[in-house]
Amino acid sequence: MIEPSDIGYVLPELTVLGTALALLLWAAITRGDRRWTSVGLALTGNGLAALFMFMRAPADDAAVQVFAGQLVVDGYSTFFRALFLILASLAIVFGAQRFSTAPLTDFAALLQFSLLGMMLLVGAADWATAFIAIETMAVPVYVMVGLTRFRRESLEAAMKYFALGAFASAILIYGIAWTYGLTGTTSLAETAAGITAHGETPWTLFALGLILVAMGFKVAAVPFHAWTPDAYQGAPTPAAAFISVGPKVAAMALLARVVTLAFEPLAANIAIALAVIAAATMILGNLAAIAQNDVKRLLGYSSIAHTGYMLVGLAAVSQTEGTATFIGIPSVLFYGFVYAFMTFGAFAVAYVVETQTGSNDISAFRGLAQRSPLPAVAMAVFMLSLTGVPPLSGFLGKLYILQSAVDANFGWLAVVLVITSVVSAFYYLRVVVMMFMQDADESVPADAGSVPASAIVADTHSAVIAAVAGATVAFGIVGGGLLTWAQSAVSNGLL
Amino acid sequence: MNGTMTTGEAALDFPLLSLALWLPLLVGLPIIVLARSRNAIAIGALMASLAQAVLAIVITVTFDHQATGYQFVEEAPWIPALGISYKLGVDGVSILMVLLTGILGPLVVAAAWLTIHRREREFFAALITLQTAMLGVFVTLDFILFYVFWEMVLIPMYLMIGVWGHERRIYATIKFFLYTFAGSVLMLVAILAIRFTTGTFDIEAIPEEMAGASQILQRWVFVAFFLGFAIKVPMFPFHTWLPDAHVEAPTAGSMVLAGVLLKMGAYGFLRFLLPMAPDAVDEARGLVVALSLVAIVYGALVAMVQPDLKKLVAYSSVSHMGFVTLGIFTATQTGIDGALVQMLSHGVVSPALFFAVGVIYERAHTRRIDELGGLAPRMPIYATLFGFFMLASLGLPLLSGFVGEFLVLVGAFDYATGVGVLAALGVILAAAYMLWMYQRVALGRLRNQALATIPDVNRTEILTFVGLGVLVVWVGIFPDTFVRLLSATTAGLAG
Repeated sequence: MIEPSDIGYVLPELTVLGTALALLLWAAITRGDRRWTSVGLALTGNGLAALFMFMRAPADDAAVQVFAGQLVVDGYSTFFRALFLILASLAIVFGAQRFSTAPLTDFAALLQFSLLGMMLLVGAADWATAFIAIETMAVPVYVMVGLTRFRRESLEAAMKYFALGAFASAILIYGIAWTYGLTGTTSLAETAAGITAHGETPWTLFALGLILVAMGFKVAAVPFHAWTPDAYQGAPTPAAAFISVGPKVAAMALLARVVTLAFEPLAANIAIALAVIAAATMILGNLAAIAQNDVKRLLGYSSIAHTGYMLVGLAAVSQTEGTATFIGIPSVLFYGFVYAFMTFGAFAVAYVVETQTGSNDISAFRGLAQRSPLPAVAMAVFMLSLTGVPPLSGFLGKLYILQSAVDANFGWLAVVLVITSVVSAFYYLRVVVMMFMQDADESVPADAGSVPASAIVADTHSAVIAAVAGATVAFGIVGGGLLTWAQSAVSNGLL
Repeated sequence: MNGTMTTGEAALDFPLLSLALWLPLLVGLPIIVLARSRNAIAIGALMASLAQAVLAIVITVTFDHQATGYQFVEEAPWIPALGISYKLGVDGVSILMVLLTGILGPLVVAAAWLTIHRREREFFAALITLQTAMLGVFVTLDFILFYVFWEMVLIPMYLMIGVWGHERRIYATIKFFLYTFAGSVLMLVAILAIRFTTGTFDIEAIPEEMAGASQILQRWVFVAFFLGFAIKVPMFPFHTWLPDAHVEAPTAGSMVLAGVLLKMGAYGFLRFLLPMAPDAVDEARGLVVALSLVAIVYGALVAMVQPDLKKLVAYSSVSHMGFVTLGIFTATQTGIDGALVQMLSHGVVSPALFFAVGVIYERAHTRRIDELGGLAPRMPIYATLFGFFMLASLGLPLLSGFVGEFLVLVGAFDYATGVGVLAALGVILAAAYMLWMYQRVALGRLRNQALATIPDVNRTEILTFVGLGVLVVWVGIFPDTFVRLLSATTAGLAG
């Protein structure tokens, strides 16, 4: 039954939807430069959505089911929705320069539609909602990758991403159908009971396998990761900044809900499967990143590696007296949050360098510390944080994940994590070396095919980068609050 | 721990350690960032490090040498969600290191002022950050806080070598970072395994809790810690990063590296390995003693054939640090006392030698021994000072090097006569390579006519040498001033 009060709980999503539609309408009825009005509109919408969300956030220990159990509003979804609202707003501000006039409105509207999908996804309590939300999230992203349709690579990346994404969706829907066939329900919570009734049969494992494969595509886990570097490289950089964090973390959130709720009876099998995937993902992602010379590809493989780290947290299942507990989920939340900031920041700096030199090659970073100190220092912060060097937030995130892994008796997985982190230091430090230890390369043509940033745009970029870098440092030093939030977000909904 | 606060220190509830830790960073860094001229930057850094030095001396003087356990203890929650706290304190193992770190600070600043001529602001900022991080390593009593400082040391040092180093600086700095990072991340896993067993990160409480830990866990903890610390010391065969890092680092960087950074590994052995994995230490004792002997003899032999003056001093560090690890693993109180005094002595003598090399390099632009020679008549003051520290390094009685090595040798003979004999061979070799080097550099005839008019040391350089020399003489003539600070703690560590 749909209660009238349900509307109050989905006001944030409705606001985001309204903003997306308003952006399209605004584009149709105005002429000329509407960059800043579009950005303003989107930011206002997201701000309102955040306001509505926190006004109607249920008490800490409560989870509210709305729309007849299709959607759940709890601390878990609030945590992620807050993150997504921040990320989308930052991405829109960043896109303002890249997409002058009309395409910006497209970009902002697409972003808002994708944001809507992500917000619904993290609250999905039913397979049907989950599937619709995942498509709402993904389809605008395919378009965003190909938004600069005059660029060959952009089109190629969009096609690849779309084809593989559609393939993954097909597998997901097949898995959902299989699960429904076994359990007779589409509710995530009731699925668990159905699975328990069946027990650990090849059929339940097959259904689980299908869903893990499909989600593996979405979070870019090995061996379903191949689209990632191409998509990031081909996408316009502000879009790539968003794609590398938003949809990935949202998919990770759904995966966590699915394995801890719907497939909870198969926790032991899930732990083994995820541990193996996590190890492969960390190893392959980090090793492949070493060979990259394009910063966006490098960040693509880096993001694969970080999927691996988060999967370690997801695999950390503690077995006590026959009952399995997913003790690593809060660490996944925390890591997802700080990962989003550092990776977004890294793409943002890559974009600043792109506007300066017209290139995404790592050599374009030469002498950045002298050319523009602020982005260089910020990039060093992001690189070191991604490596996991204290006192930055990436370290605290890895520490928390490692602790979960050790507590869950996955010592070998913890060792794989730290050793691959050392490998990652190699390629992250290459960027730092370029920026701080080598002088500017005169052969890089200035402004080749790039739009020179005007003063106000450069200032906006600097402000956003400084804020994201500040957050990356702050979450490491005074990250206790965010950590407690991540813990309470999980304690009320999932476990 | 509270018993220690009563004798004479009751009035000192004042957070002296926190002040020494953070004052330089919080006051010095803003001055360095805002200062306009080179001299103002240097004065800001000097004031910051002088403040730290004064506080370190105050802490040493008010340290109660009869008390066992930790003094000046401060405790506050930091990230309670993970059980991490901000806990500081010193005991006999750390007190000399606190003193050393403090005293070396202003002298390194002076050396940097003399030798760094570009991007001074960044250099001094890195130096001051490094000072805080190094002191933090020695005073923390929370395992994660310790790890944070331990890793924080890496970043400024990495930048100092990479930005201000010589020709092969990038190779050297990446090697330095990867080696030490690899060593320490495994330690992090061991820290988490300890936390899993004992339920705490509290360094003060862990030794007792670990007493009942399984042999298997102790062995794993030993392997992980040993790797981390042995790389840092560095012990043979993990020493290969050291000559590269030293040769490529700027003078001030080499001074800090040899003076304090190498001591962190030895400190780790005493603080963590001996009390937390005592049975595993017993099992591995023979092997570690053998490795120490190899380091002593091999380091000395390799030093003897070095054509590069700086590399010679670097390899002499490998040899001298071999005495430190030998003393620690003899399991005698004399040996451990000797190791700690040797750490203090090497902590002032080797920076002095690196400074001496730097003085020559500034003038002659070469570090090759065969391009020098006959400097004594042209630089009489320099030759005297250099000779003084050279003699201190080879262990002349009444200078600091003798005390530490003598105590270690006594401990070594107690442990096994053969070990003592072999270690004594190292002392003889040290005399050989040092005297031969001095002969080729300072005495004889002038081989390089370009050095005919080489100017002698200036006043600032003399002051830096004298500052380092005071401690050398003091330790040499009144060793009891320092040894008595240790005995209450080291008595508990000896097997």
